[in-house]
Amino acid sequence: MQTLDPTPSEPPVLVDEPTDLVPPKSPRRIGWARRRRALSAFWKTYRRSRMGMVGLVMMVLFILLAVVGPFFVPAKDVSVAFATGKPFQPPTVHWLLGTDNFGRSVLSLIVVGSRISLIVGFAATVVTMVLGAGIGIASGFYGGKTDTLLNALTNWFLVIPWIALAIVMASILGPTLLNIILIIGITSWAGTARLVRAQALTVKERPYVERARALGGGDLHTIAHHILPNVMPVIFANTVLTVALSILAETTLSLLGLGDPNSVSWGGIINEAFQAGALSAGYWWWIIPPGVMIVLVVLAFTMCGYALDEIINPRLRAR
Amino acid sequence: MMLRWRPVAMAVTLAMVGGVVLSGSALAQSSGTSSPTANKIVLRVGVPGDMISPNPLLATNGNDYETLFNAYDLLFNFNPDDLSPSPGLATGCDPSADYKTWTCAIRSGVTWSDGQPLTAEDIAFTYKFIETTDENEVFTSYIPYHPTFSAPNATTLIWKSPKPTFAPTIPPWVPILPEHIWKQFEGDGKAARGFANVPAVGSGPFVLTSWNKGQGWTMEANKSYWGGAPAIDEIQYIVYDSQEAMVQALKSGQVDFADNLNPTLFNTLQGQPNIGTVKGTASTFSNLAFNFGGQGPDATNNPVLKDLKIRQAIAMGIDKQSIVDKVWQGDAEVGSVITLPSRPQWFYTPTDVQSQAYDPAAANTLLDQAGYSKKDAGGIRLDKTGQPINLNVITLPEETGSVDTGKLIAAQLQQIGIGVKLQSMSDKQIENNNWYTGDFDAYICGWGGDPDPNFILSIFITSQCLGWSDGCYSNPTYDKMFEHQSTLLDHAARVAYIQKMQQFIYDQIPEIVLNYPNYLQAYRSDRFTGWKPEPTNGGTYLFGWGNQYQGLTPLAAAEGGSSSGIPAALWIVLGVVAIAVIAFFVLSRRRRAEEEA
Amino acid sequence: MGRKYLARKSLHALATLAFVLAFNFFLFRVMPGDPIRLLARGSATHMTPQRIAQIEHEQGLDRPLPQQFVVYAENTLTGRFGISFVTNESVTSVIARAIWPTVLLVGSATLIATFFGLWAGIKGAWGRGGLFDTTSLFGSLVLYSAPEGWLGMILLIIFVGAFHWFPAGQMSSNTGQTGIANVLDILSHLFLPCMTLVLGYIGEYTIIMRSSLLEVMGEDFVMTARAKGVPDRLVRRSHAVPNALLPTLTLVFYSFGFILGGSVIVEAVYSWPGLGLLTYRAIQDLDYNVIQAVFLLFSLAVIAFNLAADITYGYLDPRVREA
Repeated sequence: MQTLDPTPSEPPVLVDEPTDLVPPKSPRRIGWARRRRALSAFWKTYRRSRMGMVGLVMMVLFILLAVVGPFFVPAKDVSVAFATGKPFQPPTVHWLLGTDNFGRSVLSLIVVGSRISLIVGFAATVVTMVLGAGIGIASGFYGGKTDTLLNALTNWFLVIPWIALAIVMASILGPTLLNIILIIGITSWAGTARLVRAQALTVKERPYVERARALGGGDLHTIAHHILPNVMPVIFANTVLTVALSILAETTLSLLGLGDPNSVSWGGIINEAFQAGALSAGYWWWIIPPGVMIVLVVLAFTMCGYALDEIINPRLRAR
Repeated sequence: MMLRWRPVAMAVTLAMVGGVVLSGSALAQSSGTSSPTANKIVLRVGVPGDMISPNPLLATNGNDYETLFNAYDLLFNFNPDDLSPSPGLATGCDPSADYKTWTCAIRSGVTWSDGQPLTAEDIAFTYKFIETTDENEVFTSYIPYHPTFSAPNATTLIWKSPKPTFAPTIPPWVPILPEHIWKQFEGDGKAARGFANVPAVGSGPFVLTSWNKGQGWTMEANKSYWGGAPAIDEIQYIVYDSQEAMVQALKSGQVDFADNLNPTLFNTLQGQPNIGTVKGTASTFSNLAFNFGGQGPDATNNPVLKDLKIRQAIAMGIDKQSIVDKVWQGDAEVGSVITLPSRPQWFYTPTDVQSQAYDPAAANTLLDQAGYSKKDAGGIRLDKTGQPINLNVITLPEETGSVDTGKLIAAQLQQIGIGVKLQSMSDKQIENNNWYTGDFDAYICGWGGDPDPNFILSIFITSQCLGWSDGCYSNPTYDKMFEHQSTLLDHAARVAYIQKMQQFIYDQIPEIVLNYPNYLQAYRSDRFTGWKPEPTNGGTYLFGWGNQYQGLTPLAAAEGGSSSGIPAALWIVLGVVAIAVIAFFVLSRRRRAEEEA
Repeated sequence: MGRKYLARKSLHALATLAFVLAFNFFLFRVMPGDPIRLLARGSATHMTPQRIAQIEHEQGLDRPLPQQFVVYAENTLTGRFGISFVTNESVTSVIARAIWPTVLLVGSATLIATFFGLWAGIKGAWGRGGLFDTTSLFGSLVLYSAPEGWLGMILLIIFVGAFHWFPAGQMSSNTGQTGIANVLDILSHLFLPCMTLVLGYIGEYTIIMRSSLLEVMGEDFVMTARAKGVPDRLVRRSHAVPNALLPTLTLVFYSFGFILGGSVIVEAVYSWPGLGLLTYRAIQDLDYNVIQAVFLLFSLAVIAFNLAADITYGYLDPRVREA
């Protein structure tokens, strides 16, 4: 799946060699001190980005909603058979967002749906990142035949329109939550892999990597201690953007009828509304709010991702 | 380089625009139905699903039947006021004293749509054909005891039955087929079912001339119909994927009639200008039909369903009223027996109707005491072999209400410890696969009943397995009861006996009748007039029991199509866009000229 | 452009096509479950044992795997995609009916979104931080975050439900008009679905163009041009934009696959009778032959578009031309 990477550029250097004003400690202590400093420098830069901060706040709010919200919704409220509302009620004081065709409160559905929407978003991202970063690093680091093969694989997966692949797989495997997560992961990893590979290629050429190998560092050591930390920023920014895209992907699959019918997600709510004729009947309260939630959550992650992108790629920053 | 990329970009853009315009004009050619020739009166009927087949041996759904009603005649028709038998091809049938021989007077001067004359021979042939070639026994319930038929002359039909019967007057719902077309298939069921039958040669008021699968079918008026030429020249049945699209088409005038609406959309049409609505009250029933196996080696029915106590508990675990409220929005009645409340002469309230009232506590007790008290981690009861009771229930999205009913039932049965796994399938899928193989535990579907209950009673007999039986229910006692009722010549005796049979079915629960939903339709009140409900009390305007198109005449607006004007908004937007684009190019040209100067 | 470049890119496209074919083949053979049962699930005719054997023979499923692949490749390359189990017609004819509406919809949407997206991106980047930039950036982000299907529904609710300005779906009113009236009728049906796709993807193009141009603007040669006193507009048009346009255009080409994908749900919402609606129905009916064929067709379209992008890039970028 494509990420919004506008420039196939060389990755910039993020971590400078620090000056040591403190008396030398163990290498590990030095390493951690360096990381702490880098982290706080990073945070200070991030804080300056208004877009990033707004996105971050929104993100935290949504995560809170997903974690805590459903505890406040009695199970009865989202039960098809035992909901107490009258069907198709427009918003009233009692039902702030109206009811659906089974008389369930749309507000309760949205609160409960936040959990699945976000879980699928995060889980699919994990799959994407593990696959994408793994293949990207291996490809960039090992080079040669491995690189040719993996790179070709990546390019092939990039070409296949993700939705066509998702449809084929979902209709064969069946629409369960686990399958949806896997499918989104499998259709999205290529974009990440391409990005990570490019970064890994550059990092590989850096002097300290050569130094580490000269000193006898094995492949795994080099990857873990040198490649990975320097690829991390790119991976991190990409992860945030991938969450946004995964949530959108889950919504699209739900709207196509490929979502898990047994769980409530925001995309699933919109799909049910559509199937029940909410458009013709004008039940806007059933269709608009879940979509607004999706827009907001995706916006949150996208804004954070953009802010991160700007930090990592200094040329995007205003001069 | 700058100087060169502009022409390339231009070329690419032009190519794309050209491609788009070309495809647009290709579309403009191919889209749209053939424009009606001037003065041709066309009735356009929107339907939410396609026909299964216009071949009588394969006819299944309401669309098939409506087409057959138009294309063919019956021995007797259904009186439009009360659905009692009225003269069709036969003007009358007289029984012998022992009710074993019926002599029917067939009207003369009837011709097939290809010009051949229709005689009693064709009728005799048709009934014999059903005997020999209807392997799926679609029509055999109307022709009991293997009678013999003869046509001593063109206008007389003799029906000789080995046992006393009143079958000819039910009336037999068998479309009369032309011998000269169908004789080649006599005895060869497979070939007969493989016959496309489009265009169809029939004697009815309309002729099926074409069928565009997935899109719709067309019937043209039979000007030499014995009942009089219809005022309409052509009926176009247009298939819509979604009911929403169909309702939109009705509102914008693309169709004159919309059939089988769901309650939500139906309610939005109330009070709309130029739109009329009609409710067929309780003219069908919706049921949860159980599978008892017996279809073949691939049957996967859960044997626990053979335990009557399980079925009783399920009946008590379903809140039928909530289905009426939530799925039908009140446009239905709580179900009980297999006859319909709208046929008061047959409808019967079981003496023990309370025994299946919604009572989850009682259902739980019943199951506990019946040996299903152990439950798994999810609260689902274990059957006698230790397996959790999970039922595979199929819902049919093409049938209004089936999917939502399924969801409600699944949630309700969870409360009594019975798991339900829902699976949705198109009508075609279940017709051609799972229903044949028996790969399901239950499904939720609807039945339209004949005016005479003989048909609906027949679906539970053993021999209807792989015929009309939903789940191959088999009970020798019931088979005998069915045989017996068809011999009762005294109407009162038959009514009483059929009530006994309804009680039996109610107690044996081969299926659970959930509701009697209303059948909802809407139409353009400014296009045609002469709409009549059939039957008079709570009937529908079309898709009823006979030729309801005969009485329709066009109002002035029916000629030609509606010209929905291009909305002013579109003109304004187009204009603005055009001006913007032109201005952009003009200004940029001028600016460039300035700079280069 | 250099012949080697063209050859390389074409070969690459062919290899990708081969991979897609192979992938599709294995997808159905490797997936859990009996492929015949899978294919037959949506069947419109009863699957008797004879019919199953017939299909097995047609698809070559009774032969060893390598032979099966040959049969499959042959069938696919000659356009024999099997029968649509739902309507019993050949998949090719079902698809042929649905192609033009999608070309019209996706084509017009791509053109409009590209044109206005690039324009907005350029204007925004050049006037960075200004009102237009902030508004368009924010608007792009919001539009980008909205699911296309839902966007389509919103437009329906507003422009059809509330204002009654446009018809509610499908491609034509089917009242038998011809000529200009018919074209206008189709346009009025096309407007909303096209707008939905445009709104869904214009944000992306704006952002891509903007970032690309910002990067270029930071380059030395731009500063040089400005220092030389070249007027701002000329710097933009002759120096900055062309350099930013190349990577942008190729990215726009590459993201064609997404507009095509987006058309699936948009066509479903509007009942627009194209490939997307066909796919939507095929999913509901489990008509695997159609699903497979559309998958291949979509992939082919994207591969072709990417090849076109490569060729255009090769033609325009002198650095590549000599390769």
